[in-house]
Amino acid sequence: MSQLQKRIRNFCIIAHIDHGKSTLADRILERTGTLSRGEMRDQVLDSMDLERERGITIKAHAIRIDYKDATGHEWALNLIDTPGHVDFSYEVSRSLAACEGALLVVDASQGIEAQTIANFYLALEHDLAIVPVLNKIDLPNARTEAVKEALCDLTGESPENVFEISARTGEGVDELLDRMTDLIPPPAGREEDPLQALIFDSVFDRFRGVNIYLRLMQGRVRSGDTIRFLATGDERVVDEVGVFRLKRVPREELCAGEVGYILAGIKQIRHAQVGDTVTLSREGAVEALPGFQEPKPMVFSGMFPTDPGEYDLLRDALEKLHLNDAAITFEPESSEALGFGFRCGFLGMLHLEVVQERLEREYDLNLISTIPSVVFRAILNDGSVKRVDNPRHLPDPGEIERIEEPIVDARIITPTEYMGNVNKLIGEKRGVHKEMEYLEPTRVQLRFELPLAEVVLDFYDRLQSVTRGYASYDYEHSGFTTSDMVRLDVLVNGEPVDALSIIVHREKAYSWGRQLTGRLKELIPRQMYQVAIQAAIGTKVIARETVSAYRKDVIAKCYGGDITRKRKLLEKQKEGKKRMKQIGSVQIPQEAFLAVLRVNDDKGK
Amino acid sequence: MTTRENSYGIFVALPPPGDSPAEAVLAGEIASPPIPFPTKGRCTDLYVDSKRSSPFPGGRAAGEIAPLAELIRRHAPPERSFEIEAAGEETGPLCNQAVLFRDAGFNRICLAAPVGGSALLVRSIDAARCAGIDRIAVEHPFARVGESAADERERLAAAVEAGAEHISLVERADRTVGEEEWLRRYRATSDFLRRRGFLRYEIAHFSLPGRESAHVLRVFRCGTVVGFGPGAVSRKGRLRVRRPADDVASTPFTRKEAGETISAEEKAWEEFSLGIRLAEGVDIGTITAHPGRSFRDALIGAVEALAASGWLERVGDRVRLSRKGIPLADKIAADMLP
Ligand SMILES: Nc1nc2c(ncn2[C@@H]2O[C@H](COP(=O)(O)OP(=O)(O)OP(=O)(O)O)[C@@H](O)[C@H]2O)c(=O)[nH]1
Ligand SMILES: [Mg+2]
Repeated sequence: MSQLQKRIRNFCIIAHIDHGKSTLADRILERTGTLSRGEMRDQVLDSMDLERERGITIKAHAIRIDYKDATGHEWALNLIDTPGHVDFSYEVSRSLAACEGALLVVDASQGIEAQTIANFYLALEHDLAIVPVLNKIDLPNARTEAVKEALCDLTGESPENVFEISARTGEGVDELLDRMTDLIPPPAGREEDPLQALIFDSVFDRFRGVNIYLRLMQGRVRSGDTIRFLATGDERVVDEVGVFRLKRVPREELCAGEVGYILAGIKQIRHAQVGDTVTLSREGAVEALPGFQEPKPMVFSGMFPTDPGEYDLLRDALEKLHLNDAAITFEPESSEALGFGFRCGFLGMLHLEVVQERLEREYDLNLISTIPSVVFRAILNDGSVKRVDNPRHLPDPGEIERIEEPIVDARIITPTEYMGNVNKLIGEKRGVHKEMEYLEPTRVQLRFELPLAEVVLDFYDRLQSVTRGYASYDYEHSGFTTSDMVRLDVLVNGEPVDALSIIVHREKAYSWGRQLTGRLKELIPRQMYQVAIQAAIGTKVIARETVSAYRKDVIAKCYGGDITRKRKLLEKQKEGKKRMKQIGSVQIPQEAFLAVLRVNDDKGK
Repeated sequence: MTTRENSYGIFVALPPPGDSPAEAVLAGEIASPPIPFPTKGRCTDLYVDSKRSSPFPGGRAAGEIAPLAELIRRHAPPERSFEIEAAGEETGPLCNQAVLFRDAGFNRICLAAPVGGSALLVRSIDAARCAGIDRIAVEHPFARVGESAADERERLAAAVEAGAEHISLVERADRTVGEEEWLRRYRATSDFLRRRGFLRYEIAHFSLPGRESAHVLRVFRCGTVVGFGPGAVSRKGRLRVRRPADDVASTPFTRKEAGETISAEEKAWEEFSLGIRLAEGVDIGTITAHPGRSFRDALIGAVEALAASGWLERVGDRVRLSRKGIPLADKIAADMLP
């Protein structure tokens, strides 16, 4: 191992959402003088607008730190800040593959939460050295001792190895930095061996093409080298190599153990797939690294431009976004109600929201998204299996032998006082209790099996409301189970509105039908005709609401010689109409397609 | 009732009283109106509106009406049908000056019926008739929140009794009773007036036979109007000019930049949405001759659909709002906006 390599430490910061990862990264960057005062700001690594606005990390961010410790030793640290939300755990697992160690951060006022556990196990799977860190000890309601005990229980560490810090005040951060270099091993792998590097992320840049983020397991690479991608066999000449320091910092070469980037004029992301292994063409064969499991979209929703003329723009935008977010899937879809759009797959509801927001904001589109659906399996009479991610594509009930729905293993952590509420909620959501474990005397971890469909819709909101925001949850896909699912259609004046169909459990169909029709009644403005809104399973109507017809819309006298004034008023009326979709003879406002999701009004984080 | 192509109306909006410079300009202008347009055709009605002030309220000398009289003299065609109307928001001053108006050549007067009692209105009508103006129109506040149907009816009956030949229902968008109540009152008012010989020639305008307001008809048939005075609107074909609220000196239709040329579609829309309100209806064939194809098709398609479901009805080769369609006039118009 070279002298240089001995001084490299690659680590990521993992934690439950909001436990202070990005803030800890700030302190580390500050203490090591990595960024100038001018560059520094709170959660500086959260560079996307959306991250800054929502105050959460969405994408993993890597940064190279040159650190001189108290004894004068110089270190090259690669820090990767990761997101905490369950939807983005794919980001975490890729980051882990580039590291030897992980700082497992726990908020001392909150305690162990669901993603603390999930991320801990992820790090363990990757064989990383785990450094337990208790954060926010400055908070008056920090339960430092109790949480420390729980953290020790989880990780098997002894209490004296748990760091106590405040990422806000900086307390304990120096000591952590100082000791970290001992606790995390240097990267293995020899510089002399043929290049073997793992692509753990990629970002598309309009000017330079695909930025490949990689971790060199062995070997070295410099500009001018010809590299080969093992998965595709593609070869490219490297234009530039370097490390990240908010921006790209070009370097002469990257060596075994380092984390950095390569630019090779690649215009299409499929030529540089995340998880692929890169080698030098002249050095011949190396083994492909394990790579990553393809992220599996869990939630599907139709995305339609409100202006049909923007279909092509939407496609372009999705393609571009896909370059930076491989977890999105999309394929063309057409709806009678909404026109042409795309059926898109997401990792979860937050992911869906983030993607929609980015599309609207970064690409200036106006979108309608339909009710999210999970992927069902229809086992047909002839034994074949049809994957159904869109309620409209559910075959005729006569052809179906049974329907299977995806289920998840869910972990919920809650203060014991809300256990009753949580159990009740789980019952409502068709969950099956599996086990329970005390993390602290007053905090308990419950394990359930739950249908994914119940989790995606409003589970988070409901859980937060029954536990006053004190519970957290995490889940993992665990298979399929046969369920009595039916397709619930919505009809407006007898015309089915394809975009509002949903696959639900038969027992839930009635309450869904009532809620949906009730909500639509509020949202569909009165028109010249009476509007009947029905929810039906097949031909059987299970709920019905009526929007009465307009009785009057006229102001008797038109002002004198000036119709312009009147026209202005009517134009306002028409403004609203623009955002309507015509279904048969009925105009449905676009919010209707969204608002049916918002079962309770206090949605949000 | 057919539109006379070569006729136009003059619309005069009066400036606020006491605003002497403006008044002087207006007076001067009216005295010798620099009307470059229309070059041919004849003025068949003159409508003097004073929404922002009472016309010539108390104390003004007859001489102040002289410019108007001059205007009238210049434009009055020999035939007697020429209609010269003064309309004001306040009834009192208007009737106090009735003699002056008569002397200036006015032959029609439009009085606003105050809410809350009919005594003043009746007195005003009498005053106007005594002065020799026998064509009396009444603006009847309609379906207003705070006034009972019975009180409203009492006012209307008094106006009719006193000899009004023309009733306009005026409504305030922000002060109108609920829908069901509106529908009831509208029906009852229409029936009441019909029984007294009034025809509904436009959905808010009723008159004894032959006593329609030339000005109202002109507006709803989208005819040519030359406007004077602050905020007055002139229109000819697709050209619109609105005079600035503080400017009375400029000449309509000469200063192009002050105007707006609406599109053929917008013009068709205006003709449609105003025309269907008239009892005579509107000729869809004529109004769809000019706009672009997609609008024309949409309009023709919508008319068919609306007629099929009973919102519009055909009268010969014209269409108008049906009884059922009248309460939705604005909705239908809004839906058809280009
Ligand atoms: N009092 C106190 N607040 C802290 C501390 N560390 C972080 N915070 C606050 O906790 C909130 C969340 O901090 P972040 O650093 O964004 O948390 P995160 O773990 O990166 O969150 P995600 O990236 O969304 O998972 C912010 O308001 C921080 O200011 C601390 O040591 N003490
Ligand atoms: Mg963060």
